[in-house]
Amino acid sequence: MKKRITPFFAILALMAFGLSGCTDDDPTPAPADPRQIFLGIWSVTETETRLTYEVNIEIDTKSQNGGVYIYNFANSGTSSNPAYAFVSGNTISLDINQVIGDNWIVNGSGSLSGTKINWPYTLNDGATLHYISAVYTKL
Amino acid sequence: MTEAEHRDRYIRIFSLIDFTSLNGTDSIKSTVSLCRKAMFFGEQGLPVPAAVCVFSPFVQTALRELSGSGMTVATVAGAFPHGQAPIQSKLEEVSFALDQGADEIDLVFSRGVFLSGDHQQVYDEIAVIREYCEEKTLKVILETGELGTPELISEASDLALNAGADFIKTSTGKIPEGATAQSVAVMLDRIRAFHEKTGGIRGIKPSGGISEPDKALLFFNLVAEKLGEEWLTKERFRIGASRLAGKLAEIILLKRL
Repeated sequence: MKKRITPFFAILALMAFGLSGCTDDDPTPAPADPRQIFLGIWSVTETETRLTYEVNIEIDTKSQNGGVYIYNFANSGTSSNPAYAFVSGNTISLDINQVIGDNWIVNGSGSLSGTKINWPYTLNDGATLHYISAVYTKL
Repeated sequence: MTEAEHRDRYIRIFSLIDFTSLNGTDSIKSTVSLCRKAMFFGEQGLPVPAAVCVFSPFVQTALRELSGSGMTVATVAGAFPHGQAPIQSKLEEVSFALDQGADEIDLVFSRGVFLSGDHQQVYDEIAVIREYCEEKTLKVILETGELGTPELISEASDLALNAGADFIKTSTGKIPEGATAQSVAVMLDRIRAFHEKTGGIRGIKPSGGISEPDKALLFFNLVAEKLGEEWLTKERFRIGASRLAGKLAEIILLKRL
């Protein structure tokens, strides 16, 4: 009897081990990348500006910095070097004192609320330090 | 105003811009880029800006890049942007800029001394730098946002004009308050008074915070109203800006009026 029971429990034990081993090894769903909510194309309007423009926010896959690229930030042109920003929760913050477009220095953080980002920022275009309020609307 | 008139005014404003870069990050490379962009506007059928304004170490680069374009090269001097330096240091700065070949000097007004009440010292400083500049254009930057009241802006304008400024300019662009309609109106009144008194023709350069075409148009119309159409030339009227040029170009070329 013992000879029959022992293999039975051994198999159960192995199954239990195997099951728990499976649980440990299975890829659990990674926490959502907070950057995802900011990605895509946004329509931008700025205070005192009659022009609207679009920006494209893309994830940085080239480096380990963990940020996003913003193409055409401040209407700097899609062929210009993109702005770089970091995401924390609902906040997106430009990397400090970075130079974009025509040697423009930009700073500021935006906050996402619903489908809009309210993004006040400063832009030093070499002639003036501009204080700009931008509203991004998801397209 | 018709759409055609609107566009015409924007084109004229474009030709009055001092296309400016005065950043700590400026370099030979960025100066080349700035100048090529100024030239590029001309290649698109727009007029070229009146001048390019850069820090003095980049004057030679700008001169080389803009050769034959009709644009002049301006630079800043006088301990830009605060104006806090001894006169000898300012003279050396101006001398260096002139040696580099600058066509125009944008000189910072010593508002610290002015606001302390020593107007004679400020007058003497501008007058001696005027002599150094000889036939070169001298623009005096009042920094109206720090002068504060219309009365002080008026006094500072008179002082600069009497000391030999070719232009009076509102702002460095380095403090939050740039050119305002009120400060420009006061300065225009003093230019007109100077003209009526002496016959001398002096110019105005609103600068600082002018990135929107509408705001530039406001100043354009103000100059036309207070001094007349004959003042709307680059010899008498400039607009200090950078981002404005791109926005004007977009409106003019893409017909987004």
